[in-house]
Amino acid sequence: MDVRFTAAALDVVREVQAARDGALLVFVFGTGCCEGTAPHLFANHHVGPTQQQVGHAATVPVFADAHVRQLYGNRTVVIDVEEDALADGFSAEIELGYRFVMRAGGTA
Amino acid sequence: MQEYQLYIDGQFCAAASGKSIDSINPATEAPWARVARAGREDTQRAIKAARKAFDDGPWPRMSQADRAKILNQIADGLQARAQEIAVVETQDSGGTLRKTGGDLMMANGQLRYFAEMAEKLPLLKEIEVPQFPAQSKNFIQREPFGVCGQIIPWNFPLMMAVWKLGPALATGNTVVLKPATDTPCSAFELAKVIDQTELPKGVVNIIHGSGAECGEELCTSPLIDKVAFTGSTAVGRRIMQLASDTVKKVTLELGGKSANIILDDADLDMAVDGSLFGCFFHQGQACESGTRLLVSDAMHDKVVERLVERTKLINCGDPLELASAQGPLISARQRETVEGYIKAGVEEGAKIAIGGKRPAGLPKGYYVEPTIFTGVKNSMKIAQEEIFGPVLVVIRYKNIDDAIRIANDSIYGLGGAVWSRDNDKAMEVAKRVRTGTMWVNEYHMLSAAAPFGGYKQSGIGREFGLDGILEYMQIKHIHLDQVGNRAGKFWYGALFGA
Repeated sequence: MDVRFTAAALDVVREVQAARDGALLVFVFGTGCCEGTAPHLFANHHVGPTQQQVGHAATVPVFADAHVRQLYGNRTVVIDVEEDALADGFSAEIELGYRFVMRAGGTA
Repeated sequence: MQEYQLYIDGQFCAAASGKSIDSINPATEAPWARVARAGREDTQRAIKAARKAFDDGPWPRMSQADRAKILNQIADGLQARAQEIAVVETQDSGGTLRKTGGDLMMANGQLRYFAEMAEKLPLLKEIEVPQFPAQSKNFIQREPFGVCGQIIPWNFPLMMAVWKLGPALATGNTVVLKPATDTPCSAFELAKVIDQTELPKGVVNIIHGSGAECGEELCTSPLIDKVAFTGSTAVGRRIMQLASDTVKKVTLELGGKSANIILDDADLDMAVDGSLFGCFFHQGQACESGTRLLVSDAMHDKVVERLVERTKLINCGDPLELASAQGPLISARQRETVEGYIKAGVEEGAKIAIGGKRPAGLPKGYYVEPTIFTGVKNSMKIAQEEIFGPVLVVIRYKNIDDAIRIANDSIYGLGGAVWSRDNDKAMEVAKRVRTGTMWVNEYHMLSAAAPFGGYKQSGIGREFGLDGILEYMQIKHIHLDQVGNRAGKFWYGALFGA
């Protein structure tokens, strides 16, 4: 699984880093229920043993569960960002009016 | 345009920031209501109100009969306005009026069940403890947990609110409820109903805001004792972590990818229609939906042919029209997600037997045709992930052991069904599937009196039934010692003996 970020997404990652000064940030993915494999950016979040680092966004590590790594195999996924006034997710960018989204990519 | 305010401490109020946000009607794609948008400050105020109502208010100490009376008042109020609220819910969620009308009726019955339980549940029960000296009595005292943060999704907005509020209130808890950001309106209609009853102020508070702000406050506030959540597994994990700092009780009802197994001896007319209902009800936006249909090699072609014929008869259209069996999906985003899965299915080599597109003649609204995939392997993305849209995947099995292996090859275990004319055989299959609910010759049949919840990553705890109610109660052991003299106490010899 190869994870890339758009320039706009990286800008928002930096914005969250500034807003959550001092917090350790990490990206994880949903494991395929209601929100699919949507990306979540969490502060001070424990990453479990079935998670493995698959990339990074600026200095923020990106982890994916074994289930997600298997689903995506060697494909590339692109994390982009959209403006969103309100969302149910707990991802840290939502408080700033954004939402990270995954764009399906091709084979790496 | 309809306007809704937050409901905090028995008052309808604007958000501290003064912000509000439009709610979109998924059938028209146009804003239809404006709802106050809570932030962290409003959430903290709601939590404080609930805490005060629990610590100092009459609710937790009220007689069980009085609590039951008030729950029945809420049910009466909901019943009186059922049709009107169903229309609100249809406009807010895109659920057909057939579905939202049914939800209102069920929600009403569920509240009455919880009222009955509120009255009947023995709160103090004597237990036998043979290991203790004979001269003692021992009791189990059941008490409300305290202040509950409840976060619900957008697929069954009003009914989910009742699922959460019912058991919490029946047992004397106080609540801050956060409806989903896409579908807040019926929860505020429920607030209007509650406001007209004798429920003490601050017992139920309803806020509308993001998970990142309001949800995080509910999960981390030291004033909250329990968090109940229905939604995605990723957020469920996050909630457990957030709640762990203050060691809150957490119950989670998460996703599923439930297997629906047709055995060779099933009544095919019933099994085919039942399977379509199991998957396509509310456009597939139900966590317990039977989204993986398992059919034997021998029956496969016959079943698929019938599935396709019957799917052609499912009417998509304006959810306010009673003729519509399928409405739009909740949002443009959800439709994009579902269409992404359909594309992924094709890319992985599965074949579309019917559907796969946006229906013709509906230029507005987030509609997707009921879609059936064949040639699906259980390892494919469309067989492993919850699509939350009207997409059924048909998977072949060789024999019953193979069917059960496939059914259990999922990180989820929430619902499921088996169709057969042989009850004993069906019961054996039902017992072997690792899931929280199995229906035999039925689907989506949930009752307030029967427990519902997930195995594996589909959740923790149960809703409904006695098990669901007990999730809202603390258990206290009271030991009433009856040894009346100091020297006779069990510890006397240990501390003061020769």
